[in-house]
Amino acid sequence: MRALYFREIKSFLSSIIGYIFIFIFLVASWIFHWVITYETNLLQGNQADLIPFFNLSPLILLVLIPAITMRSIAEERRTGTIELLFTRPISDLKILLAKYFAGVTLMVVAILPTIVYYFSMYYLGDPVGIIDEGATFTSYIGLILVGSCFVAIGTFASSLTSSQIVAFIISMFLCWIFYDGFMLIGSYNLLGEFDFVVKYASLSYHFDEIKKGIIVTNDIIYLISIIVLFLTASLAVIKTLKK
Amino acid sequence: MTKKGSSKFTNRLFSWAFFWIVLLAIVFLNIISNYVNYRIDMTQDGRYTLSEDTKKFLENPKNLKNRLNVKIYLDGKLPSELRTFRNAIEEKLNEFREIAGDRIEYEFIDPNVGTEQEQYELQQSLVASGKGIFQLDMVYESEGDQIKMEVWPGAVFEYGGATVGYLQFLPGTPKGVTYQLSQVVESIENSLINLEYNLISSIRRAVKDKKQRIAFLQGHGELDSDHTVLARRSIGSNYNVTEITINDSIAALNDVDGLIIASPKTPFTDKELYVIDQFVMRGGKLMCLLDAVELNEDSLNANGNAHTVRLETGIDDMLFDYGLKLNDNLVVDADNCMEKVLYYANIPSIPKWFFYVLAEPTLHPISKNVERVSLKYTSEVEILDLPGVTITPILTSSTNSNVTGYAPLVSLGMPMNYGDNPELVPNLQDESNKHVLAAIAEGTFLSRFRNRIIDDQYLTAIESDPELKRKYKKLNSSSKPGKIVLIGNGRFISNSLRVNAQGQLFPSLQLDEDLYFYQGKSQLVGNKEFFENLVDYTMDEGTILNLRTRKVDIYALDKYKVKNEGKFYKAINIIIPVLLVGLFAALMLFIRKRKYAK
Repeated sequence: MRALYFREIKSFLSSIIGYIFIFIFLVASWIFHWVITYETNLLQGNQADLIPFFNLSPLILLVLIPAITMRSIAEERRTGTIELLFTRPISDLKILLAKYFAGVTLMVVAILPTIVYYFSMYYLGDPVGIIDEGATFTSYIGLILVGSCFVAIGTFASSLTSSQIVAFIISMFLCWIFYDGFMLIGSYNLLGEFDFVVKYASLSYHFDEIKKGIIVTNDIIYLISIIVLFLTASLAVIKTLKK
Repeated sequence: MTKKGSSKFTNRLFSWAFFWIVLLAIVFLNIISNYVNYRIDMTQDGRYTLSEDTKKFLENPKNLKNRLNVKIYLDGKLPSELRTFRNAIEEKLNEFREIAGDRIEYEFIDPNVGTEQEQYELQQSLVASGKGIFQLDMVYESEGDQIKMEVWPGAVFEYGGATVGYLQFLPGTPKGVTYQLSQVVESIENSLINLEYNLISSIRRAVKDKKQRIAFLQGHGELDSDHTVLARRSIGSNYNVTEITINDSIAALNDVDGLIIASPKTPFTDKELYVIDQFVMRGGKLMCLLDAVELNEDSLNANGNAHTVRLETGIDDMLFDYGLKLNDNLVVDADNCMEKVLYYANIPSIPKWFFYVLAEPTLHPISKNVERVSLKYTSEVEILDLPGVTITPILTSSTNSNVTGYAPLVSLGMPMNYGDNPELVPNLQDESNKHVLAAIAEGTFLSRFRNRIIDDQYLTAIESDPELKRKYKKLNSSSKPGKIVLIGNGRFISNSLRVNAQGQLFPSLQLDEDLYFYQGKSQLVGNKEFFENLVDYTMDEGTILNLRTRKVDIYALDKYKVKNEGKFYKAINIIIPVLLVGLFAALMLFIRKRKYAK
């Protein structure tokens, strides 16, 4: 599995795709948080925290992550190399996990350099260091968990089809539905009592709690559930593909 | 072939069955997790954790001798915002129960079930002729329909078999007014922040055996009942508040726990001072809100200047013996001051009227976290060094402040002498420029009358009768540690009076006109909160105070740095991340090259 994982990582980082992903994430974040005059600007926010960053980043990842995961299984399906993988003495689950964790690694590598934002806010605080480390730390954990959910959703979408474009569109839609869509649906009193359940199903509902700086078991369990659920679904699809 | 086909089929069946099992397990796990609710608060200020004082209060079985039953009338069909709010209340009460156990019970009740008659009766009992819960009428949109609903956003506390208190979570609507859901959401957020404080203080109140008695002293031209409506109301729920006149009675203050002397004008007799002194010696809590000098502001407005007159009440002489000295001057402050609006004249307002001081809080729990306190024409308090007494400043002026001479002449033209950027003292950063405006003395005091004999026939009579002498024994020093507060301003708690349609004056719940307009500019003054804290702290209700002053930390940015170094931070936040990624890429390339070179 390890060899497969490194193969996937390499395919991201020795080609331009991985760097484009990282670079675009960093530049987009920079523009939103440091350059333009908008509510996401950290310097103009008068608050020594990274809340705007954690509010916006899932939305950037929502677009970018489907672009890196769309290839993972769809491409193998199109070129037929998936058959080769199946013949290897390695279980389907391991193939899937290798691809999944390669995606997660790439996302973490993209997010890590934004630690510089944290240090900037640390020194810009009045007094220096007023920023809430605990809340920032949990928010980073939450962001990585949300990103991991997106990677799982993207991997699932990629397993559904052999067309990368279709995989991209499906995964972006699913990511949006799970991140924000359910929250929106639950906010208009369309379903009465059931609204709460719909909201509960959205990732942003749980991420909002984590952003406050509290780790509540049900939020963590929900986020991990989504990852497990989509990976299991992808596994089932892959098994069905086997001839 | 068929065997292989069937195994493939079972394989697929198995993998999908596995998926469905996982799905069910996940749904189940998520439902369970909502009942577990284990949480770790990672915030620095621990704002989502019960405070130590709440825990201590709930842990102590003496505090909750009987079973406390909390009935919350917020259940049934609710829009999701209110449902979240309801769940937050339940969560908080569950946290309480984790500590207090079964001594706290709660139930959520839907007030909109049952026959119309039952509903009506329940609602009547909730209103409790205006003492109970106010209803909130609101509308929200659902699938294009306007849905109107009546909410009873409050709780009823029952203790020892009787209804002992009510708590309103969200403000009620006036008759005939309906709120939109979006308007309610804002008050939900406020209510969530104060939820712990509101619940625990209601519980404390509900289980309290006996309330302490606080008296406003009368008889020397002090603030009368009309002017203390706001002050009395703000502390009225925690204390029995009365008014008291000493009337030559030596036992006048015997059943009083706290005494407030607000702005006396005429002198105290020695005997009255003796009664107050002995009250302090018994451990009574004394709060003196004193004006050292009197100024007629109308004549100042009309003539442009006015003389101040010393108020010789004698109470300040007594405070001197306890370590607090009130100076007969006025504090002027150029940084923390308000505008003086001249309502009737054609004279422009004075943007910085140095005498309208906005006093700065210190780190003392009374004033910490309170907005600045408006003290108009306030005098300086001096702290003396006495053994056995700890004196702490609770309000000060800014570093750009000074004091006038004794009993000064106040002139409207004074600020003009200082120009646009007034500097009242050299060296504006020096902390020693601050003048103390209020202070609290804690400890054991020596009686002012320990070596003094008062010429009063009653007191002489007591001295000569051994029985009476034992009963009204003169204490020469504090038998219990006491607290004395001195604030160099007597009217900062006074509310204004309004004229109604019949031309009668009635107390309004506003502090005064200037503050009203000042607040209109969305700058708040903390007079009311300061007074509440002052009373709570002085009356030893310190634990409840910590909870109220517990505020969410404000994580402010250094605006000066942002302005000056913003460009630097803008640059490094793209350069460093890109460099890091570049380094990472180079490292990857290096590893690969070495691998292939081998």
